[in-house]
Amino acid sequence: MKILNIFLTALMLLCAAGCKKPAKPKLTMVTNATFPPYEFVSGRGIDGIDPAIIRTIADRLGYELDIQDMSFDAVITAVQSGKADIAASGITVTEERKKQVNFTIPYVVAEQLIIVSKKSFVRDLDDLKKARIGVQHGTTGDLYTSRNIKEPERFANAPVAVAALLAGKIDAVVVDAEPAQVFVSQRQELILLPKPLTYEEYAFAISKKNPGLLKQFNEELVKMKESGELEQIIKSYKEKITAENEDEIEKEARSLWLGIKDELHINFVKDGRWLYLWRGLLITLQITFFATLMGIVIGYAVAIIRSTSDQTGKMKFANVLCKVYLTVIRGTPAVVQLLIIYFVIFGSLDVNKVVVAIIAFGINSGAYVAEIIRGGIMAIDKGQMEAARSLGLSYGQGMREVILPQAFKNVLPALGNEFIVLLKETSISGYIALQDLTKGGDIIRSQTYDAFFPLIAVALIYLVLVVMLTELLGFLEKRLKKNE
Amino acid sequence: MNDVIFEVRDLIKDFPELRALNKVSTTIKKGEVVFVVGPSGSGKSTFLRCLNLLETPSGGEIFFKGGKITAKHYDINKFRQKVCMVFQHFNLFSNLTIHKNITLAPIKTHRANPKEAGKTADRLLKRIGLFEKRNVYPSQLSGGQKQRIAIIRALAMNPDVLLFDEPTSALDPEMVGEVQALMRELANEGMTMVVVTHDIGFASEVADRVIFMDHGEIVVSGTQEEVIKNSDNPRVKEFFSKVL
Repeated sequence: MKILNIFLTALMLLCAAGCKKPAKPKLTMVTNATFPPYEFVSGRGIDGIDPAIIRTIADRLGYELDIQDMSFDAVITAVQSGKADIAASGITVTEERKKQVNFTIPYVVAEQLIIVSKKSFVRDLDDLKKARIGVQHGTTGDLYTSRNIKEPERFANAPVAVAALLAGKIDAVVVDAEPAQVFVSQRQELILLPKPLTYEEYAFAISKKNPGLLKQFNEELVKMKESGELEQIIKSYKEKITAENEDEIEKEARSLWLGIKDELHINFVKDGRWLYLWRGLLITLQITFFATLMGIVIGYAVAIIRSTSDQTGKMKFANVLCKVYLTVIRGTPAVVQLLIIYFVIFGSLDVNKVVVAIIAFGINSGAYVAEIIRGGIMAIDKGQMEAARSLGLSYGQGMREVILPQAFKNVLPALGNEFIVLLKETSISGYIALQDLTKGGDIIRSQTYDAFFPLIAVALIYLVLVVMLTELLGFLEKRLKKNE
Repeated sequence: MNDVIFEVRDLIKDFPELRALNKVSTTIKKGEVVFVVGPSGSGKSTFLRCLNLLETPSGGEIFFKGGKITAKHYDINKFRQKVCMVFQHFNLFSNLTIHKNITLAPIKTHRANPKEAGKTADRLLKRIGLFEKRNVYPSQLSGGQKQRIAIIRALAMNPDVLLFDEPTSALDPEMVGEVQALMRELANEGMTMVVVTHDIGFASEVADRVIFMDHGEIVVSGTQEEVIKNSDNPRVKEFFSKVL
């Protein structure tokens, strides 16, 4: 009896400690923040109509909201695979999407509008059939156009499509009404065709496995509609965007130099936009550094297993595994591997995306490093290992003390080349919504609609990194050459 | 029995298309200097490489100081510490300095601590007059210097027997002398040596016993008088008439 008492008291104490501060449950929202005014990156984070609505509802339901930015074609998958609870990205309700996720009641009815250049021959819907049409990949505009008009050109996001239109690469852009109005208000050479292409409804997407959350959201949305709160949010964001754009249009007539200065200011200084590049650079360096280390470790291990098996006939099973690894990794694109590791292997785990990228690039690089080092080991004179063995050293000791140091020196230029490739390859990290250097440039571009300066800046930073890496390797090579 | 270093019985080595050794039997005693001669392709290098198991024999038995080294679970690494080899192409570790070339094996096999190994290396380097080269890399040495370093690298293990695989064949003629002088010294000190060579003159000067091999077999074995000068075997006679 006494023991039971003590046990119960302990249990109660534990419970009291555990229940004192009930942590708020987390609600993860995914979006593609290149779609003003619905979602865009502002100075502080991701803002817009969708984040505002979700934040209001999340607060009322007692959730802690976490917003993540990723490419539009991935947001539905993210919800489906359980990476996120809700997708809010100006998503149009379609029959296909309904098969994959549940939709809330629509919070907006939107039109698909057509943007053309003032000088364009496209004047009505009939002209569209002859036009080169640009869309954002995976949007309703994309679906509707490809089904009912013709195969469109698919861009990663709407600002890029508009940039292509401005550059004369396409004749028309099909995009949702609100962003279309924003784009046209910013560029005087663009106009909207008066008749919309089609109508559609926007709603939030929630996993089919989570009907409870769907019910909660629908109830809150109905309340917000009735109180007029929903309309208020939408209206305030539309006005805010239009007001901002009028500011920028005022500075029109300007000299070339002042123009460049202004562009530099808008692209890098205003709203602290250089920070996107700086933070992106840090992430790129982080991924590259740790992926390189991982690649070297994997590469060495695989190379040693492969050459030991070739030379001594041992470790046959491990050798087969290594061969499969090399074939799969070298036979598939890095971006596909990255997506598989993110969505499939870590599908239901909440792992930091930088770690996911490091693992993906490390595994990828390991395969190339392995073959480089194996080549280096094979190139070492057979007599070196024989001499080591004849003095009573084991195979492993001979490898470690004699063969590998020589092989490493011989393959250093090839390894350096691999690391340069790796550094540049990390630019695909944006596919899993990591804000690396390239993605940083993309974000600036999506805010300023200027392709030139952000791209050149990103290119220059990569170039400087590669030049520095090359110098470092040259220095290391010289140091090692001395030891001969 | 305890003065027998190697006992070889019916040693066979088959390569995919060739029988390199066919039932070779011989005994090598402590302190003996044995020279193995014969035409190219006679199997003499293969025989030597079987002695320290760089080649795995296909048949027959080899005993080292009574232990059967061809047995399945024999500790080869331990055995090789007592049977060191000098190669035709020196095979100095090109990533290590001369000093480290000599100390690597004694330290890694725990036959000496780094301090002792260093002292031994210094002593051996002084003996061959190359002490001032202790911190250079092999690529900076001449062939004769490299081969003498290779010999003392083997000596540093304090082995029971030294195997030489054509130690002077890759040398320029003017460097042959310095290497042979060192080998002669070792022979005089009582080191057990098995030497594969084409240099019949050197063999007849230094050898306690000469083995003549042809087509993977020992044709004759005896003192240099018996084998080189006075053999009445026609194959042996023909060979020496060509090379002498």
